Amino acid sequence: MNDLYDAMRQAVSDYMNVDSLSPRSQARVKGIHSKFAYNYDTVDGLIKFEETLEDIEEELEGNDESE
Amino acid sequence: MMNPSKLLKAPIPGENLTVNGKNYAWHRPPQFPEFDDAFEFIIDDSLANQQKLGAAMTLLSNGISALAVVQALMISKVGQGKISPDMSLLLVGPVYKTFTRMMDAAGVEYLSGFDTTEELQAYAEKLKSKDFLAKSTKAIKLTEEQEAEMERITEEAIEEIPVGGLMGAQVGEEVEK
Repeated sequence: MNDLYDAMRQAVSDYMNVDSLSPRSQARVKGIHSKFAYNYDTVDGLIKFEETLEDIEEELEGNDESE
Repeated sequence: MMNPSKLLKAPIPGENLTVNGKNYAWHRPPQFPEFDDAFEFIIDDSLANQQKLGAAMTLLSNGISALAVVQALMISKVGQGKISPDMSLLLVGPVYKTFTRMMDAAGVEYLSGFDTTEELQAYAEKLKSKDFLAKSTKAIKLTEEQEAEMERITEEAIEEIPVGGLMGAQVGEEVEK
């Protein structure tokens, strides 16, 4: 790695594509963060936008029809 | 032509070992040595800051990759002495993930920083055609309840100020008296 930018790029790549890494690398990436409160799963669940605006509109329309 | 006086002022080998080691913020111990504290700081200071987030969105919609934005953010925090370079390597993954999720939720189209040539070409064409603006200019659709509420608030706002009576606002003539 030439500099901090390359190292960051590699770190992001590993973190975002952890499932495509080898089991040993997966354990390394997840293991580092497992010591902290903001571990892999916590960060994963921080922002969840399962409901899109369209879903909400559909839901509202469904409620109107039922009334 | 190079100024010869600059050549004479060049640092001598080993000069860096003689200067004060606490001249810069990154020479001193970082302000947030703990991962969780540092992550919370980055979230509060940058990702939850509306002004900074708006600036980041502008950068992304102009073709700067999300990776470059996050890298710049990390380097700036290292430069300010908030986190150490090693901590920036630990933080960059979670910050990138949170940042890109926020951008996805906001509907911003951006380059991830790991794009293929085809993806880059498609993005460049989209930038040229200005299609990316169409999404942001789409009008927000309000529900009937929201529209009724908006009408009520507008009517209240433009309603005339009650005149007369003990508690009424004074009219021009009354004031003169």
